[in-house]
Amino acid sequence: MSLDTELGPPEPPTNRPLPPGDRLGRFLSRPYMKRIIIIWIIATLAWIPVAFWLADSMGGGPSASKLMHELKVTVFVFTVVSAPLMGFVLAVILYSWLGWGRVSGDAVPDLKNPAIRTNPIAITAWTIVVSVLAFFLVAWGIIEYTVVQNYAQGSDNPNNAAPLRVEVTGQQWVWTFSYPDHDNVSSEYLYLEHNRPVTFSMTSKDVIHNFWIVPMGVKMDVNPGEVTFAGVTPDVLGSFPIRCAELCGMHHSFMQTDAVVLSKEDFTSWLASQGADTSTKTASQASAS
Amino acid sequence: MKRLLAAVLSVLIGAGIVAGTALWASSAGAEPPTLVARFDGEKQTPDGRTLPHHLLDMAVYPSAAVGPDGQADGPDANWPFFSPSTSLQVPANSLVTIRLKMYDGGTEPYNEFFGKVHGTVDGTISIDGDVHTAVKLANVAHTFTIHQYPEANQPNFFVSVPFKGVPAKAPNLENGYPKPVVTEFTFETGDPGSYIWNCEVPCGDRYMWFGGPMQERGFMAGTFEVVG
Repeated sequence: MSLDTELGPPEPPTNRPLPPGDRLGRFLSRPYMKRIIIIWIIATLAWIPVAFWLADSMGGGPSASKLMHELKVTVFVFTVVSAPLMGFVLAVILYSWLGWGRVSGDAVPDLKNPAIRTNPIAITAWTIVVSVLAFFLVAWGIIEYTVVQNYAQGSDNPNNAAPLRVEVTGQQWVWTFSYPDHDNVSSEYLYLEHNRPVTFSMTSKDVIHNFWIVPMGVKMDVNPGEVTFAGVTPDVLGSFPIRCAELCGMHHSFMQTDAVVLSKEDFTSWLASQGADTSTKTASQASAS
Repeated sequence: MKRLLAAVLSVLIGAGIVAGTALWASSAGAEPPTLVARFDGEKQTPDGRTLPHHLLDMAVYPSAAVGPDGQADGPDANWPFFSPSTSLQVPANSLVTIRLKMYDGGTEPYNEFFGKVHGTVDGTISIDGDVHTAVKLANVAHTFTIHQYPEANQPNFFVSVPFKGVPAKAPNLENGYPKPVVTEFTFETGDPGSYIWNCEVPCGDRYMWFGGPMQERGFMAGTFEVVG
């Protein structure tokens, strides 16, 4: 005698878990999930112009060097890549506030459909997507760091000019600049030559300052007893603000001056007006000497 | 009733503590009284323009315990200070002459930039009647350095003048002070703006001698208002 004959056919399972795909599908079919997904998509797309605005407003206006342009591109890309995660969090917050916030009394949300906290498809997809995004940001950061370092070391040198050396001194609450290749001419304003790489060697006479040429993307600590270095190739004519970016005492907020980018002729004239040697060398001459 | 009285009393005491703290903080952070430049006729610039001329008479004393505004005691008695005020006000688009009597000795700036004259009308200063464009670093006692702009909507402004210190062996006058070194310099103001000035010679205390009076308005730093 068979078991089937004795006990009859087995009853259909009542609490056996559905396949993961079905569980995920039923979770996503919850009415509020559709609304959250719509908010998620809108928030993600809305974040793209915000990213553009964030990057564009960096430095208070247009970039004054390729280095700054690279930094702006990086801020834009990082913000866009993080937009889906930001959008999802924002969607849940918004729906929790505006959607579920209207639920009153003891009514509980519809929990008939299964949760997905242990759903292998959801967990795997989330892990892979987040990992890919994170890996992309790491890879982008490493590559961009190399690009920015190259720019800081004068790789952007359209005229093949010898880099201009400038010694920067920070002191409460004034910046001073001297030009060791030009008879140590000194100035309270930073005069630079258009499209000529410049290397800064910086030190402080008192406390820690931070040398920040805002629209050029140069920002470096200036420490007493140490020499720090930075570089850039200014590619826009005009005046650009220099600030101290390290709280350095009572008049820290007044520790500002200007970087003035001049054409080669005007820069040479300025050096001459200061009584300096105005001779310049090409990069090849500089390396040969 | 007792509980009500205790509550009211607690509130009153608390309010008194807050008000007292605010009053103390306000008086501690108060600016010195403003020294307004006085009109002194008209004067020509080196390039031939005639502008209103204003004067500021000032002095530097080696210790806050001496001088006409000195205080005989207090925690800051040993600090050098600019007198009679460090809050200065001058008119816009004018020539301003500062005549300063230096009663303090030399310290020497760390940065040779501040041994040179910057921003005066002809790039010079007068020291006891002699014209100079710089002061030997070892002889610089203090500087008067007006600088930078806090906002982009006011003109750049930079004047830095080194003051020669009183020699160590200078004889004392009848009033007990050494014969001061008198420095005079003139600069041109532009449109109205708010600036600050400070001494760039490390003449304070604590780290690198940039503390104490170097960080306090009323001593080696102050405000410089150019008014319309």
